Amino acid sequence: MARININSLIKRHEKKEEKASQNKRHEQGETFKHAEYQMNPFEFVPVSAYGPKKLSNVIMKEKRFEGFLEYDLKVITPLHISGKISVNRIPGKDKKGRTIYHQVYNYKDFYNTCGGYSIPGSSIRGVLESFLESLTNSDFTNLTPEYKQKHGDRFVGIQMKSGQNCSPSKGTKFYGDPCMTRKVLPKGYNKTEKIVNVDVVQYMFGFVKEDKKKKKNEQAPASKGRLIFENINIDPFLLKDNDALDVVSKDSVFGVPNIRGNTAWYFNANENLLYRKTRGHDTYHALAETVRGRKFYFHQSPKKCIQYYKDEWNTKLKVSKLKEYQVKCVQPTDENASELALTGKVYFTDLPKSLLNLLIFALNPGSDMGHKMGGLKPFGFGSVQFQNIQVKKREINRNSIFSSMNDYTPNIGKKDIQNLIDQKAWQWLKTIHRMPKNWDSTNHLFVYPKFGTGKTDNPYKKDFAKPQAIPTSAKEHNIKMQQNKLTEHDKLTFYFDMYQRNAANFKAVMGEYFSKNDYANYTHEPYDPEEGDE
Amino acid sequence: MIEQVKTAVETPFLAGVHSVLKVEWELELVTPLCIKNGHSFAWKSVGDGSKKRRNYKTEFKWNKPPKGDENEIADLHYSIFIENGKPVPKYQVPASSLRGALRAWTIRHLVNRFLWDEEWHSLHHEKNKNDLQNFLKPDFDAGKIKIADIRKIVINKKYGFGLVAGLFGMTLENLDDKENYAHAGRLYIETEPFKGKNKKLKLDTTWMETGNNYGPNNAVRQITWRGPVDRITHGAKDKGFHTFLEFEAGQSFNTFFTIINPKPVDLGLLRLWQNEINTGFLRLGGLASVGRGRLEIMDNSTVWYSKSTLPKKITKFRSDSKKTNNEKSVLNETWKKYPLDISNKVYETDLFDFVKNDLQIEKGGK
Repeated sequence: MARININSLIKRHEKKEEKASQNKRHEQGETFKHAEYQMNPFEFVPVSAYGPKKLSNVIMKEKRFEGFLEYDLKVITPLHISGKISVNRIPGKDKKGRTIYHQVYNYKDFYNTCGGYSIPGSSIRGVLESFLESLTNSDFTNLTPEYKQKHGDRFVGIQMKSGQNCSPSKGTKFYGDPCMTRKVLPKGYNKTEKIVNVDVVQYMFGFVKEDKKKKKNEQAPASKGRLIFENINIDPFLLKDNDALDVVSKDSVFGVPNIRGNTAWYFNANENLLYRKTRGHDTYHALAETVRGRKFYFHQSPKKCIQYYKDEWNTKLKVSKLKEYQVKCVQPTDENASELALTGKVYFTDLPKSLLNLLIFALNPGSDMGHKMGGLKPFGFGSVQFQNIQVKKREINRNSIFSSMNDYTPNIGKKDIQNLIDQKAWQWLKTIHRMPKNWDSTNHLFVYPKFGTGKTDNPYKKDFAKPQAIPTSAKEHNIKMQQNKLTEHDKLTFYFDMYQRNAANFKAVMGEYFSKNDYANYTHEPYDPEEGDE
Repeated sequence: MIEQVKTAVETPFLAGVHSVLKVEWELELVTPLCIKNGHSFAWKSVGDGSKKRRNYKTEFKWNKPPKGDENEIADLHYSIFIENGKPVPKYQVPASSLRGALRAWTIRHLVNRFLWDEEWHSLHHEKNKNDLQNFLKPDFDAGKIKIADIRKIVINKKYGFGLVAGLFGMTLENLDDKENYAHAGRLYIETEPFKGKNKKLKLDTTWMETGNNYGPNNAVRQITWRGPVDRITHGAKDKGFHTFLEFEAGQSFNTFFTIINPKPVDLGLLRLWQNEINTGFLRLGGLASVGRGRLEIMDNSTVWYSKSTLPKKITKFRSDSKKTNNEKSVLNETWKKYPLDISNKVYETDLFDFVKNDLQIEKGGK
């Protein structure tokens, strides 16, 4: 005779009743006015629909210069570049009662190669390369070829549409393939074969392309760069420990991209959805159609941001999974009472004059703008400015190497490099990189959607990863969000652009240009660079 | 008409050896230096395999290939020396690295750009086509390079390539007429291993000591890591995180130049090389784009050995105050020795005269 577990029967019955109640409210079309929330810590600069912009021969025919520029690095918010990292192991139990070990950061030291603390030249190079890549609509320099991510025994990575299967009971189902970058980028990006005409970043920084089609012993397309970024040595006196937060988890890290297929954040989604039944849940994955763009982080106060998470997540939501740890950072320049300065050097060689001007502009694009460097960017760390740029140069010809270098102190404005930049990208970049006038203002607080307990009908408080409703199509879900007709069952965070636009501080941060005309300019679809305004 | 008789550039020792220039530099690393040798060895972080932990309890097995879960790291250049009858590996900057860097810098700065910059040539080709065709055989433009064409470039002082070919030598193979073309150079370069004693991989106190084999101990190495960032997600690029070895800054090594039958222009070139090394434009090794490979000349000596007297141009600038080479050298015994101080800018005069006369095609190419 089969045993009957009364408790499990009761639980199953209660779940059914709860589900029926939810469906009834959903059918009655109740809308839910979601709570106010702040924008995500990042935005995306969309890409051109026509591929990278090639460097013109006119520029390449200009006089060439070599020399170096020196700058002061002003640290606005604490700057951290990870060195040695130690963790604490916390024993726990999985759902089957087995002992597992969670990990949480204990301490992150600053980058130190035993020759002393330093900001590596590769970090500085990366900041400028990614900024210039966007500004000049150059090709992507670093891309993961395929976003395939396993989480335990599940596949949670981003997928793109492949096959199609019609199922009358569930509507149209699509099969998904792991998202391959080259298929969701507009034509012309991420080329691997021989490059005939290079773009600005390839010309300045050099490149190596992995060409899988190349014959054996044939060299992959590559070109030497024209820039040299030196390390910045740091006096230990400038370093202090700051507070940071990490999530207690087997391998997840708080603040690191969590690329999942059931949230269309990194890609503009296809209007169809991939349906899966996972552990009793109806899960919908957004299928990637086109890339959303290049990701950049906003500037904000780390102190304010960390305090927000402590108050709103740990305390109010009683989420016990966030733990404090210490991280060693270069302190803000204004808080440093010593005379110690951080000075850096960039060498350039064989650089046309226009590109030298572009480099100088990229270092300091505006007094109200700053770059982001290092780790913990989602929490406001790493806001910096390159100031007091001094240039020494000489023309490259067979006579000039016998004479001294000349000082060059141009006042480079946007008009000087107009022909090199993508105007639409510039609109995005100057908005994202604008530093707050008032760092304590709530308008400049950027946080992730709340990590909820899952035991509430408020979709804003629900678990970020779990959708509660079953949309009939991605398009319909999108329309519901646009018309603000969300119900308590809809996954608020399903679409990045809708989520951002509905944030309390969107207009204050993104400004008139992106808010006007019913957010006509706030779109991450690949655009025509010839269209539009400044 | 092309000269059939080989010129002095192509036959540097035809009249024998009349002079020798000996130069010694002590080079110090201002920034870390990364010169690999194609080999690698095993290393790993000993611990619980935590994904979040970084650079703790690291174990090295020099000269052993990785097994199992061990990682692989590319080694830096070393040479094998025989000491007390035993082979001893020592880390060293290979002379070929220095030679290659000097040659590349010289070509880029002193040789007509049309001869080495494919991009420049294609940008300005149409504008200067007639001048090129007038001077060179049509075969050159058609891509069929012949020995006569190469020689015309090499022996013509105005192109600047004779300077490079004369000093570094030249070898060409597989030309259309299947005739090899080669002549010896006048410059020889040697380097010594790093000067350190009992140095090893720089370790943090939390790294394990037991079981480690660090390899040659005449140079300090450090492990550096880089993590490329994916532009779309701003996360770590898949399989992008990597570590590499490099020589720590602050270490020094000696290098020796021997120039047979030196000319005044060689002194100017040496002076330029010194300046360019000290200002950071002339670097060695890999990863220069992220600041590696800058050197400084901490000490140098230049001695001209000659069977007769010095060329008049150089005579008044000689100095007897600098240290000389090994007194037991055969050069000291048989030849007259003239220590020189080439810090005087006037040594560049001959070199300047050599390169200043540009053809019209180069002016148009600017």
